[in-house]
Amino acid sequence: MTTTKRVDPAELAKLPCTGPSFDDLRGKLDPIVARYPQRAAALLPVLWVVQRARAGWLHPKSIREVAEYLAVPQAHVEGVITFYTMFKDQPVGRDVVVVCKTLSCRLRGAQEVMDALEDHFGIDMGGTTKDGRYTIETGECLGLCDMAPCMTIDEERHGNLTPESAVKTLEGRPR
Amino acid sequence: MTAALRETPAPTNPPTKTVTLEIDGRTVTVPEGTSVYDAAKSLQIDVPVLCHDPRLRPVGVCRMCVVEIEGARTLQASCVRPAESGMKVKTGSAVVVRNRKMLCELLMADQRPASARDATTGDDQLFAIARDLGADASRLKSVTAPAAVHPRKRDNSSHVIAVDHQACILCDRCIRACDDVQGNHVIGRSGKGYGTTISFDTDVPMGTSTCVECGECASVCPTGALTNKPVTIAMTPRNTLKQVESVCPYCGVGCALKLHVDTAANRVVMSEGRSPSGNDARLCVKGRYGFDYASHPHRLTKPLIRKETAYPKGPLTATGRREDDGTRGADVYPDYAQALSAFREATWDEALDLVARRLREARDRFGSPAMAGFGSAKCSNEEAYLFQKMVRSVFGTNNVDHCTRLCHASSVAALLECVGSGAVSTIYRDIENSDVAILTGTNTTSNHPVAATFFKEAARKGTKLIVIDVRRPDIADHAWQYVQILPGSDVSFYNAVMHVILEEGLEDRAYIEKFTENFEALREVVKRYTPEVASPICGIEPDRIRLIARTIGAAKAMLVFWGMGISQHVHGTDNARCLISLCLVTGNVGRPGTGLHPLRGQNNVQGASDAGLIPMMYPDYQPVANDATREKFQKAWGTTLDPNPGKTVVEISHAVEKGTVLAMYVMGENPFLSDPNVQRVRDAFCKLDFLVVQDIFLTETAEVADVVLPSTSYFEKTGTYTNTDRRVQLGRPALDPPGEARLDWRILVDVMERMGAKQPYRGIEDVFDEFVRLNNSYANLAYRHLGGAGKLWPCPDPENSEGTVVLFGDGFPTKSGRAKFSPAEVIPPAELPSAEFPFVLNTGRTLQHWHTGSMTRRAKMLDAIEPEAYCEMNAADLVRLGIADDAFVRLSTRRNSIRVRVRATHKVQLGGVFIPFHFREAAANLLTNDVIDPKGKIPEFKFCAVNVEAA
Ligand code: SF4
Ligand code: SF4
Ligand code: FES
Ligand code: FES
Repeated sequence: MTTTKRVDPAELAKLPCTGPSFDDLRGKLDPIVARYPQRAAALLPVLWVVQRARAGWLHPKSIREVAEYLAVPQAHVEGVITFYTMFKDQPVGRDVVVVCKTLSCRLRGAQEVMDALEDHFGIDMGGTTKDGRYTIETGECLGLCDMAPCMTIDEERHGNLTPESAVKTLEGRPR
Repeated sequence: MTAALRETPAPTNPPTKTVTLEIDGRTVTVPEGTSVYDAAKSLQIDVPVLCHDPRLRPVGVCRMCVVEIEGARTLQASCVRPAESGMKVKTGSAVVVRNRKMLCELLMADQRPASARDATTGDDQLFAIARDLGADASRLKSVTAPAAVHPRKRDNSSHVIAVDHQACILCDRCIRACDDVQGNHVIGRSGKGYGTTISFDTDVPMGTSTCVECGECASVCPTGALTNKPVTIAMTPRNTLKQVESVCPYCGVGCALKLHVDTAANRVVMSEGRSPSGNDARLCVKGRYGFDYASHPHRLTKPLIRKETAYPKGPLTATGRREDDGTRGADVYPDYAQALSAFREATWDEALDLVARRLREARDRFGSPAMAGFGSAKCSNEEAYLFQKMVRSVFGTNNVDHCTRLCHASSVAALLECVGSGAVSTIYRDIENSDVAILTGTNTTSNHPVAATFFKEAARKGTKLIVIDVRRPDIADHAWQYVQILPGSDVSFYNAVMHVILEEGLEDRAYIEKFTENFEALREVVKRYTPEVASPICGIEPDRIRLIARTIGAAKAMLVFWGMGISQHVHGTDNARCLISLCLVTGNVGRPGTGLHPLRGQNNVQGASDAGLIPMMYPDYQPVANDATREKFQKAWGTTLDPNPGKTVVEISHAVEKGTVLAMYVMGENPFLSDPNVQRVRDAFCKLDFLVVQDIFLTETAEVADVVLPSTSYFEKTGTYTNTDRRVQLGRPALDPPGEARLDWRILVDVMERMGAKQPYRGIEDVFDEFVRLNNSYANLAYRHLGGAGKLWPCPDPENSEGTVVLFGDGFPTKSGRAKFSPAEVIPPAELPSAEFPFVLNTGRTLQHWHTGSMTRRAKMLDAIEPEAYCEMNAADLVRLGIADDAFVRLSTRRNSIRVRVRATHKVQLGGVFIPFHFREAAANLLTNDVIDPKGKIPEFKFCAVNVEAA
């Protein structure tokens, strides 16, 4: 089983920062900032837009640009990003899969679902499939306890999973 | 002049409410709002703390300081819990101790067996608490995670600080130190839960982050997580070292510091800020880590006499010959072996006799006007005083000047003309009382870093900073408005601001009426400078000029800080006049939070000027041309004095070139790098009939000396220094001078006496006392007052007061008692860009280096952080020229050309080139223009036309 290693934060800056230039994003960001009394207050939604536009993760360059744009220290943005699991400070697959690991789901077989996904894709939870298609990780209660065990694929919800249906769902999606 | 001054009124505090409580059975009464921890402290009850530090905002995150409060549901963190009346507190009950011990064991379970802090400064607070409590973490080791979730690594990438994440207890002290004290915002937290670590910027290694190596974080860290790396010799616990209270040798902020000295090794091991003081224990990278130049092997230890074979004189080493290759190579320093081979060592007697004889001969043969001296703003008040006394009373000329001529001469000229005093009207920390502050022509975070920390703090608390500069300084990040005017357009901008103020009736009529004169002349001039007229000249849109003018007009208290960006122009005096007018017209002088503050560059710029290292003035700015004054000094010094004002720095160099000045004494100056159009200076100095240089290193200038006298560094002597605030502080010796190096004041006295002028001093303190007798501004000051925080002159009652913070509260020390408006018209810079030289060259400094680098490039850490010459250009200009970032360029002006690396930046505006002047291998001053301001006689370092090519 291969483990996808975290890239050393010091090396991240060497990876390409793909996606539109920050100037091209301003059109989307300025109206968000305008909704708040202080620029810094727009941090979360601004980061979200930038992350989605730029390959699903926040490259150090993105962090620097957002920090400058909102006049907050980079260190502060780093703290926010590493606190909220939906922000990624590491490269991710094209789609991010979150398998719920909280109580209701566990009682209904979440562990088996995770094991199946790890076996099938040959990665640990938190890793990215070799084809770069999925990053599969665990998360706390997704609010879908009524269809436990469950997972999300980006913004899609999938419930009442079995180990087989979870694998099939991921493999069955258009490439 | 004292009549026009006033003491700041004591703040009228409302009577404080108090609370009375009981701690460990003892009753104590404290002001409301005091924490339980501080209340206990006032009873000498020691509560252990980890996250708490008196200089930092309390956060209460570590819970080490818990105490039992009767009736409270849980134990309370005493550092954040306000004391309340009737509280009953137990600081050492069984439950408290049990809790502390458990907490301590949990923390210790993650620690390495030995603390890096105990191994260096010997003051790990966590390990000390563990020892006190007898905490045994071994029983917990088995249950804590074997490997932390986040790799808790060591990070040795910073030049000055070693990071060990394993030892970090997340007490948040470093974060608060970096954010709240220094305002640098480099440190944050990365991750959450057990895996959290402190992180630099985006969790990059400290050495590649935006950290500016101020060392504040390491100074507050209670564990081995952030420790200082040794600068020269290994660190030893502080209780094995001697502590010397002194002052930083570098910039005009004049931070009070404590040196920790290994006396056996004769080395400074560590430097720390101290408090109470102007700087409140803050330091920058230079003050904290730049002390080791004093122990550099290049120190001169014996007098040197030029060998017969080394004539005719010329530069001995690469300087003046091989600047061509701007890379860091052997020529970072003069080639000592090569340079020293031109000299032979001599005894003090031989050297001093030779100096005295040659100077006497020169004076007698060529006459006193052919003699001159350059003193230095790096020397103490005593040394500056003695130096000008020597030149005036023994050489018989007023040709004595120093590097202030190159930095604030124009500001002083304008201040003397308009308000009658060249000093700052208030201290830098008075910004906390301002609602608006202008910072113009000052790269404060680099050149006055600790003052900048207070500016950033004020900005956080609501002071609107208006930053005006051609090159975007980092302090602009904290500004309400950053105004990037075009180079050399200051006068038009300020005139337009005043135009709007007058047009919209925002001036302070009562103030103008009561305290000023010549207002109508100002009104006449600024009438023509509508924002629309000024806008194309200064590059700022009319509406922005209006916005800024209205903000200034509405300010209740506005303070203006300025630096070399204002003064180093042919219109430097005019620039300063405009700033003075702006303060006067809005009534912003003489109250807390208002006034004029030209930030002094070097540690003793203010003092050296106060001491009379000025060709037209005796100590305390008393004109040499005034008969009564001259009479006073003739009497004091027992000689006749020259009634003619002397020549200034650049004028002296030009006179040397012409052969009208033939003999010179240079003490601690290095005109071979610091003066404009330096090749001309170098060529000229070779023609001197006799040159004696008194210095601690063989400087570029010393290479053409006939005699070099080895003197003492800052760290080896006693003396007073007057910082930018007019704060007179005592520097104390920490080290023994190397070899035969001699105290500067003794050398000067020796030379004077050998030239036949007996001097009355038994010790250095006598020199100070004589200086004070002749200088009213320093009246009543004596050494015994000047330790601790020093005194702000004037200080009529030094026993009971810290001196005068705010000057000019009820008028000005001018004849009329009023300040004078001196309107200025736009004059273009002397050398405008042309097709051949299309860019504008601007010179300045870096955070790590200082003046000609003779000290900082020999300070290991400073040199390691910024090792090589560079210039900066706008990234878009480089793209247009097809030059890559970090490539070499050739910079050429009408005078000379150098090769140097270029850094792409957005701070420099299009069409601009910025270059620091510290680096001998690519000496910026080969390029600069030696044209001078007609009044201040300051050269135009900030503007000349330059061409840029790939090289
Ligand atoms: S050395 Fe200074 S700038 Fe650097 S992280 Fe520490 S406090 Fe911040
Ligand atoms: S701010 Fe100036 S005086 Fe203070 S430590 Fe730095 S160089 Fe020294
Ligand atoms: S526990 Fe899995 S969705 Fe709530
Ligand atoms: S010292 Fe009080 S909570 Fe840390």
